[in-house]
This record gives sequence, structure tokens and C-alpha cells, in this order.
Amino acid sequence: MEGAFIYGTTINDEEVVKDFRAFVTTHKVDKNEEDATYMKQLRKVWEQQEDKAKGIKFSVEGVHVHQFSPTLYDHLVSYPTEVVPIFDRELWSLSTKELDVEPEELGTCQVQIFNLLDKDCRIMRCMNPTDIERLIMVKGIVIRCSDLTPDMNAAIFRCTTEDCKNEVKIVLNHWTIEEPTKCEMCGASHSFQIIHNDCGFTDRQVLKLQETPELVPDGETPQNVAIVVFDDLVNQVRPGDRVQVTGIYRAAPVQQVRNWRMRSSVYRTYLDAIALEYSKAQRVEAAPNMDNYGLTQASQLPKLSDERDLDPMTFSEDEINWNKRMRELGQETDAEGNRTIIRKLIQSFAPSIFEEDEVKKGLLCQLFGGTPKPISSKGRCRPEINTLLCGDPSTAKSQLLQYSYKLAPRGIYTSGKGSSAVGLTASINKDPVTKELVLESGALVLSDRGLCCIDEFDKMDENARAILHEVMEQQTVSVAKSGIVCSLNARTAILASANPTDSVYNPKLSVVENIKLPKNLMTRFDLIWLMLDKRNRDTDHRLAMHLLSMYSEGGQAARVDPEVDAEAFRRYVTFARQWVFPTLSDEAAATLESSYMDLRNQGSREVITATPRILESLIRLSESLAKMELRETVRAADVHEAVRLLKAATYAAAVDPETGLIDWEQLIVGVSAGKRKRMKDLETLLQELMAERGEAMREDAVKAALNEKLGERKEQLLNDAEFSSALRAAEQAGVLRRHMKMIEPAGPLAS
Amino acid sequence: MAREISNPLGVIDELFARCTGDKPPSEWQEKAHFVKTLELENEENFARVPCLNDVLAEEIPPFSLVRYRCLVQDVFEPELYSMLLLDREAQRFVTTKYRETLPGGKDLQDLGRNGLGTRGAYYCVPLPGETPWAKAAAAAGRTAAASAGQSQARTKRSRDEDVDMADMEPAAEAAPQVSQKPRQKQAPVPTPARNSDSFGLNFPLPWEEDQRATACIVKLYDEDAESLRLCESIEILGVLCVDPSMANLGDAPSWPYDARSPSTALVPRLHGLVVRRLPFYHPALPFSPAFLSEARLAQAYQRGLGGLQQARSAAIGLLQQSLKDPLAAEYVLALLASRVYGHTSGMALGQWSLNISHWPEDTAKSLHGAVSQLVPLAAHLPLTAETLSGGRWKPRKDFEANRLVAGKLQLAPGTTVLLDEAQMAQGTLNEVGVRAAQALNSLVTDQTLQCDFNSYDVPIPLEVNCLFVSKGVSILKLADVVVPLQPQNVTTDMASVGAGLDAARFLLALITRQARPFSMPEEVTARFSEDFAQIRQEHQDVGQRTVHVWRSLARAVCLTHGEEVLSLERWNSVLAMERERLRRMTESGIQMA
Repeated sequence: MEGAFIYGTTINDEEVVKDFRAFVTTHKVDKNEEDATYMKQLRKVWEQQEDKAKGIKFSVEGVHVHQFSPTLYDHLVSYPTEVVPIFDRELWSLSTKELDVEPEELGTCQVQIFNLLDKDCRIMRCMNPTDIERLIMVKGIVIRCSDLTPDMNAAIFRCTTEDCKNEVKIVLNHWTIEEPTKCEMCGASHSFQIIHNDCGFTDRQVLKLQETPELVPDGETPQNVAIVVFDDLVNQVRPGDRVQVTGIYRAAPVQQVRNWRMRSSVYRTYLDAIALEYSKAQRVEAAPNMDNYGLTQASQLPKLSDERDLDPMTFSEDEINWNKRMRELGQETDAEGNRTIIRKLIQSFAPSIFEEDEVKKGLLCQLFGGTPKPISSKGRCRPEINTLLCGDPSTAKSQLLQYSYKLAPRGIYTSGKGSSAVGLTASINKDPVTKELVLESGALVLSDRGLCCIDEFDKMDENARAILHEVMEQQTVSVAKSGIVCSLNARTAILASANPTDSVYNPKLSVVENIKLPKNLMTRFDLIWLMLDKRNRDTDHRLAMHLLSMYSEGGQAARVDPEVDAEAFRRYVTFARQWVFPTLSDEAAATLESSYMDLRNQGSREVITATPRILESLIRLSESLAKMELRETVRAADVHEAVRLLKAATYAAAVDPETGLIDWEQLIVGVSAGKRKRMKDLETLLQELMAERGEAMREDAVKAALNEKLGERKEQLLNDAEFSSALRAAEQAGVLRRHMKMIEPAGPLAS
Repeated sequence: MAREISNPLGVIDELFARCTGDKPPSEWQEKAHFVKTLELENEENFARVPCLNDVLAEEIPPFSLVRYRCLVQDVFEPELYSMLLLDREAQRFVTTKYRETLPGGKDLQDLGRNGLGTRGAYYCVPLPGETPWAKAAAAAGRTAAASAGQSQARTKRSRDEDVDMADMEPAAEAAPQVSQKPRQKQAPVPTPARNSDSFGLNFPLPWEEDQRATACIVKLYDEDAESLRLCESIEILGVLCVDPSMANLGDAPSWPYDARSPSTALVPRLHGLVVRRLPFYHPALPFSPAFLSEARLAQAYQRGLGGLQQARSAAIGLLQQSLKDPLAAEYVLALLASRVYGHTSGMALGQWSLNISHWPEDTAKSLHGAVSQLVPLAAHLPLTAETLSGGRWKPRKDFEANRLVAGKLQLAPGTTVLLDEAQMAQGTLNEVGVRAAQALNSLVTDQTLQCDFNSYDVPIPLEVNCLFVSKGVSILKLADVVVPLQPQNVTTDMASVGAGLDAARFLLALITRQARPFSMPEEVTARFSEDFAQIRQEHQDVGQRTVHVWRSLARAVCLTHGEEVLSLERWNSVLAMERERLRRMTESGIQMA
């Protein structure tokens, strides 16, 4: 083999040069491309650089190098200190040829490698001595940036011997500059002195990178690592940015001990950055998207049969095994051939909470969510299901919230009591270090594509609630402050819990009256569950027995362990959300239509039992039910189940205390249809009465006459509140006039 | 003195020199050697090793073997160090394991990547809130292994006599087991080296900083290296490194500057050979869980409880003296005897918190005093708008110094925390105060310590027993059980309390050091459920949570009576306590919901 091996390595200089040249000049990332990818890029980069003497930065994807030659890639990551300079040099000589310019006119080329293979990505806490001097990639949040410091890249030494004054330029090599020991001109040894003014310097900055929260194991604290950046990478990022750094992991002895005989054995480790990838937008997004919905085109949605989740190119063996297990879990059937997963999930969801299986099922639907629809001209239809739990204190509402929050892929838990509008949405703050304005995401933005659990919803202040309107329908949060106007995505499902205003739920009043929440906000919840503290000796007895069965210390009364453990549960939810996108079958669509019509026609003309919003809810619920079983088509059975759930949830919440019918209007307007009908009846009666008598009457006489009429119809007699509100209504309608406790008909009556 | 104690590094090097081959192993059974030679399996031998908790670091010869009982206050990033070097002259490998510096005066060749090793580094502080008697007991080196088999419910004096130590001074309060002077006896002479102003020893309870206690940076190797977690109680046996030549020479290291390399005179380094975990530490049972086998404990439990009634009444008597209320005393004792003993589907079993309301005085110091007499770890934290807003409560990461600044809530597992609201008055909480209150909330209800890492909080599991004392009902409303105090004329026989005190401590140790098994026969379960259904009809505040509280309460009361099965009779007495408590609550018009 020709060429020399680089000292201390197994790489052959010539080989690397040859391979790299071939890579740049011939490699096509996309086979159908005409030109070699990087040749094209090289020309473009030089074109954009006006001052050719300044040189260029040239980005190269590690993955492409691997595509071209695994050996070259291997050399690159194993010996970056040697190989990267070769790349730089070769790129430069390629450039001189390509541009056909004098070598003196052309500045240096710097190759910036990024996007390495997964095997070279490190989690901070897993970096170890074998990674030293290797090219690796780490992710993290920037927590501190140092001031800029000049770093010497070339030194000028001058010989101190009289009459000699020989100057030598030493360029940085292997991150050190060695002082020449002997002067070539006069032969004196150790005669050199550094001339600081003439030395070349580059900017240098030290960043501190901390692990992102999702990478920190439970019960441990995040670690951090120092990143040294040079030149154009300086001042690129600010504290709070999420970055991905490709660089060389280095260890330098701690020069803390002055005594030369004693040297500390400890090394300081840091990463010499070669490339920084970051996105300013992520400052707000806070987390990279884990579930990649193809939102723009329906055709992009993955199918389970594609087995993209089992692709060894993108997933590690461990992940693939998990995904396989998830697929199996979803397919399991009982003796009759029915899938068992939903039952298992319900059994494993919050086992410490007694019964309430319907509520649990509803919460499961929320965890899985509907199918994201492409944004079309028809507008956007949210896939997220919003849930409200309301009812008596100490009915384990908070516990249910906690369970959902822990299982959701991106769950945020907040209490309405403490959270202001700002804490929920986003705030603009001055960073204490940089003094720059920084947009900090609140709970709703942080739980984008996740679940935002709001405890004590009723205690939230008005402003904060107003924001939820936008979030729950438009799925965005708008911020306009300090000259920053922006709209942030908050595609989050909301799970709220609320206590009744009088601390105990009053069954005689409607939900709206019980929890003083704006009605229009109420209608934005797909499911509203009433959790009443029923003090019933029988159920209480069973409740105690159930809770006690959780404590099986003595070995007897063996407790029932959840069938799906927490880890598998979490993974199952994530898996289903990432890979399953159910669509409505024709049969399901037909069922949906008829069910909706049924709901709408239920009851009398006056009672609105269903609104188009409910139709949307039904679609979402049926989709989530199919998703739970990893099915890609929604069946009629799912729709039936969705209707049943909706009824189960809303029956209690929206049932009219007087008529016993489901009444959505009550939620919307707050007054039940039954009551409204009576008010209308009273008004007509009053009108009739006025028409009959045609003269002014005393108030109590009117009341007596009305009661007489009601008595004839065998209806409930008037109470004072009803009477006065009927009078007021009639007066407003122009039917009568009130004057000094006397009531007179108002002008000619329009019948 | 064994060479293993006086010159452990010499022993380690000799063992290393015996290794042959091209590349020496990273481990050469040096740990096993120490365990074997010093017979550390035997608890008494373990106790003979000088302990940094009892003696000041400067009184122990540097580079000798020491013990250290501590709380992991901060977990540093694993440290990279040159583990292996080649002595060019002798053509021999040299190890730097268990050392801070490279051996001087030799021509050493760096082996590059191959010579590097990693070790775990932890900042450790003495257990916060360790009560004086517990410190003294640990210093005396009395172990229950030696004493458990002996007489029951002994007095302090008789225990001293149990310890067979040649150099023991009779009747000394803290008998020294090595030739060093016990630190408690020393006048607190401030030495410049210990002036911690510039660095701050970072003790969770600020008032403990002036007690001349030692903080250490502990370094661990091999499979122990990265095994410790924040807020673990541990005991380390290792090589003490106090090296004057490593003192900071006045110039701060270049950025990134951090507080991770303070002078060894201020914060000694300890290179660990043996690590023992001490969850729910108790000086009477200072063993790691492996040693506390079921059989051993059952034996000690049976034997130690001969004078059980005496022990129990001593504890009740002591608490009554402060509370003047037998019912409240029962509840406090039950709290002290409780601990989390299991988890099921995300819920901790056995945990509950107590609020003594209608406290007549302006401070709960007297109650703290009584509690401190009974348990080894207790902290008294006054809660007012000012202390909440002003003090450090939750640990906070200081990114400039690169360390976790300790907060008052960063305690050792099993600590009894007395949250004193007696002086709570009108006031405004600032942002810090609100955060502190939230941190307190998650500690009391979820047993997690929230550490502030700037952009987000990191939850660390931490189990502590929380006791709120307040004039009205606790403002924070976090406690599961509220006992309105009704002081009565009770007289306590202090003589019998004194006589039974040691036994009472031992009783609590046996109950809490390791979760005792406890069971409820089916008939009692049925009865329990019936009673629950009944009382729920009568009291608004009885809900789902009550079932858990009753279960934990019954367990604790039972165990303090030395019973491991809930009898119907005992259940009735627990229920009677609850009925009385609920009656008092109705009487004082307290509604929790």
C-alpha cells in the first residue's frame, strides 16, 4: 500500500485523501441526481462567499460519508483530530482546481461534520474514556455561555539573540503550540520569545450544555458538559436553546496543582465543537416532536403494515423489541376472539381508584386521541379530546389527573390555583444573564401534542380561562407583549378537574350552576364527567375492601396487580399515537350519521340534545377507541361505544334535573329547556290573562289568577321568583306595564 | 493498628504489584482484601474504623482508612482520571486509583486513552438533623448486633458495658474507639482553614454549618462508581485524602470555574472502598439492608420487646410532657412509627402526615425536643411568610459554581420534619415563598423533593415524616390527619421515662429501620370496612383517603404494641382514637374540604 500511516493510527494518509476526493466529486445522495451532491454544494458555497480570501465553512453530513464508504466514516469518527484536517486540506485543493484561481487568493476551507450515525450519538451520562478523542454527537440545553476569549491559533516567535531577530511562525498543531528550541539562523538554543502582538487569534467561547429532562432517569439529576466553540460557531446559541453538538471529546489535565512534583490525576473533559445544530423555534417548542404526524398530506400517514416502526435503520434493537411487544399486546384476544386490550388498559389505569370504569375509559380515549386530520380548506378539526371532571371533593379527581399526566407522552400538570394566564401560555422575560428578551413557554405550549392537566380549574382566574377558549378550539396561544407578537402552537388535550362552588355538588342545579364556569368554555369539553361522592353504605363498604386489598402484606387476599405495567402502558400509548391512524369505514360513517340524528331528535323540539360539536366529539371518540386496539379502520361498534360513553358522561352532567332528558342547551345557555318551556308558558298565560281582563290589576291578583290557570292545567304553582321573572320578561316583551304594584296591559295587544 | 487502617494506599499498591500481565486489571480484589483482613462482616470491627463524623478530619492522619456517615447532597458528573501509568524506569505499571494526585518523583509515561478511568464523585454532608443522642450513640460505637442478643430494655449504662472494647473509658458519654479525642468535647476554636464563607459547606440546615462538622467529596470506583443517588443516606469506608499540596493557591481556576475542587483542608476527599446504604438510618441498627435479614430482625424484635410496655409508655410519657394531651401523644407516636413500606401502582403505602392544631404556644420547640429524644433524625422548620420567602427551601442548581445549593427540605430519608406554623401571621409570599410552598406540598403529598434546575424542576424521591404544628388548622392544609389539641392535666413520671428511653428508641428503630410485616385478618378487614361505611355517614371529612390513613394508623399503633397482626380489639382502640379525633374536629368546627 502506498502512502504513510498516520502516527499511532491505522489510517493511511493517501487512502483517506483518495476516498474523500471521490466522496466529494462523485457521491450522489439521491441516485437520480445529476451532479455529485457535495460538488454542487461546493460551487454554491464559493459563489456565496464574496471575499474568497476569507475561506468557507463546508457542512458535510456524517450519514452521507457512511453511505459512500463505511471505512472512511469509521476513520473519521475514530481519528477526527487527524482526519478532519485532511478533509480541510483536500477540500481546499479541490476548490483551487474547481475555481481555477491562484492558491494565494483562496482562504482556508473548514469542513463541518454533522448528523452522525446513531451509534455515535451519546447521552451525556454515558460518555466514557473510550470516547476520548473520538467524534461524537450530544444533545442538550445550553445553560451558560461564557464571554468570548481570544485563542491563539498561530504564534510568532522571535530570536532574542542580538543581530539575529529571526522570526518563526508556528501554527497550532494538535491543539498545542510548541516553542522552537533552536534558532535555525544563529544556532542559539532556547533563545525564542513570543511576540504577542503579531500572533493570530480566533474567538473562543465555552458553552455549558445540560441534559434535556427526558433523558434524565427517574430520581437522578441532570449532568452537564462543557463545549468549546470557535470562530463562526461563537455566539450562535443562547442559554435555553436546544442544540445538537458534533465534536471531539477531549480530556485535559487539570492544571490546578502548582507544585511540579505533584500533578492532579483528574482530567477535565469537554467537547471541541465542529458543528452546532439548533433551531431558534425550538426555544418555544421546547421539545422535538416525538410523534411525527404527517399533518399536511393524508397519504403520508404511516400504515402498520408498512412496519416502519420495525425499521432497523431508524430504531435500536431494544426499541424494535418493544414495538413488537406492543403490536402483540394490541392483538391479544380472549376465548371468544375479542380483543382484550381495552379491558386490560382500564384494569391497569389507576387501580387504586375504586370502580369509575366509565371515567377511566373516557380518560383512556383522551390519552390516545383521535386521528389528526390534514389542514384543508374546510378548516381544522382537532384530534385532541378535552375532558372535564367535576364533582365533590375527595373523589380522587386529582389522582386520576395524576395518572393521566404520568402516562401521557408529554404531560404537564398544573394547578388552576397557582397558574396565571402567563404561566399557562407563554411569557416574555428578560434573561438575567444576556439581558435579552426571551420567550418562555408556559404549560399549554410545553404540552403541545400532549396532555395538559389542570387541577382546580374552577379556581383559575378569568384571564387564564379566557386563554383556554383559544387553545381548546384553535389550538394556538397568542402572545403580544414587549414588541413580540406571535402565535404558538398548543395542540394539547386538556384534562381539567373542578370542584363545585359550594364545595359540595348540589344535584338540584345544573353543572354550569354548580361550577361557575363560563358556558361557552364548558361546551368545548368533549366529555364532562360528574363524580359524586355518593355516601352509600354498600358502596362505601366495597370501596374500603377494595382499597384494603391493595395492602397485601400478609400474603392473604392477594392483591390484583395491573395487567399492563406502567412502562408498557406508557409505551403502548406512545406507540398507538405514533403509528396508528384510524379512518372511518363507510359503515361507521353511516352509523355516525344515524346516531347523531337520533341524538338530535331525542326529546322534544325545544331540547337541543346534540350540536355539530358533538358530532366532532363522536368522531374523535370512535377513532380513539379504534386506536386503542391498534385498528386502522373505525367500525360501527366503535361509534356505538362512543355514543354510549358520551351519554354516560353527559347523562349525569347535562341531564335536566326536572325532565330527566339530556339537555345540551342547559350547558350552553345555562337554563334548562324544561324551565324555559315553563317560562314561555307563563308568559303566554300572562298575555292571555291581560287580554281577558283588559284592565289594570293588582300584582297579587294577577298572581292568584295565574295560579288558578296553572291549577286547571295541573301544573306546579308559581313561586315568587318565577312570578317576578315572568313579569319582568313580559314587561320587556312589551306585553304589560308595571306601576306602583299595579299591572296594566300595554296598549293594543298584538296577539 | 492494622496497616490496612494506617496505610491503606500502601496495601493497595502492594496488591496491585502482584497483578501480572500486559494490561493490569482495573480491579484487583483490593476491596475483598480489606473486607477480609479487617473482618468487616462483623459490625463491631466496622465500628472500630475511625469515623469522620466523630473526629475532625485534621485529627486523623492523612491517607488513613476512615468511615463516614453522610447524605448525598450533590451528584457530580463522573470524573475522568488517569488510572494507569507506566513507570519508565522500572518498566512497571503504576496505579492512581484511590488517589488525587500522580505519584511524584518518577518518570511516568502517560498511556493515553488506555490509561484513563472514570470514577463517581459525590458531595456529601453529615446527615442533616441528626439528634445529639444519635450522634453520641454512633460515636460510642455501640451496635445492636452486640446488644440485641442481650438483656431487654436496658438502661444506657448497661449498654456501655456490653461493648467489649479494650481502650474504652468507663462511663464516658461518648466512648472513643480510637486514640483520637472525641470532637464533641472540644471547644469550638475557629480555624482559618474551616472558615467556609467563601465556599460554604452547603449543609441543608444552615444552622448546622457552625457545628464543626465535615463535608466530604466522595469518590467511588468500579460498580459503585455511579450507583449513588441524590438524598441517599450512606456510610463510606475509604481512604481519607487531606493534602496540603493540593490547597488552592489563591488563584481561581479558569472558567468554567466551579465549586468542585475546594481545598482538601476545607472539604476532604474520600476514596471509597466499601459503600453501605443506610435508608432510614438508626444508630441502634446501623447495618445495610443485606445484613438486616428477616431472621435477624425478627429475633431482635422478639427479644428487644420484653420490656415493651415500659418502652411504649416512656415514649408516650415523653410526648405527653410536651403535648399535655394523651390522644395527641398517641398520634405523634404513631407518626414516628410510620414509614413507607411499599408502592403499588404509583401510590406509596403507609405514608400519612399529621397536623396538631390549636397549639397554645408560640413555638413548637418543646415538641421538637421530645421528638428529638426519640428519633435519630429530626428537623424543626419554622414556617412563616418570612421564612418561606426568605430561606432556601428547595435545592437549586447554581450553574456558575456548578453545584446544587442545598435547601432546608433536602433531608435524609426517614427524618421527622416538624413544620412549625405556630408563628404564622399575616404576610405576603413572594415568588420564592410560593415556590417553597409548592416544594413543601410535593414533599408532603408525593414524597418527592423538587430540585430547581432553572428551566425545570427535577423530582427526587424522598420519604420523610411530616408533622405540622399550628395555632389554627395548618394553613398549608397538606396534612391527612388533624388533631385539635385539648391540653389536660397530665403528670408524667420522668423517672420512668428516663429509664425506658433507650428501650423506646430501640422499639422505634426496630419498627422503622426496615418495614415490619403486618397483616389484617379477613374478619378485621370486614369490620374495618363496615366501620368505615358507618362513620362516613356521620362525618363529612371521611373519604377515600381516610381508608389509607386508617390502615397506616392501625399498622403503626399495632407495631408499637409489638403486634404484627391487627386484632379486632386493637382495631377498636384505633377506631376509638379516630372517633375522639373526629368529635374534636366537629367541636372545633374544622372542615377540611
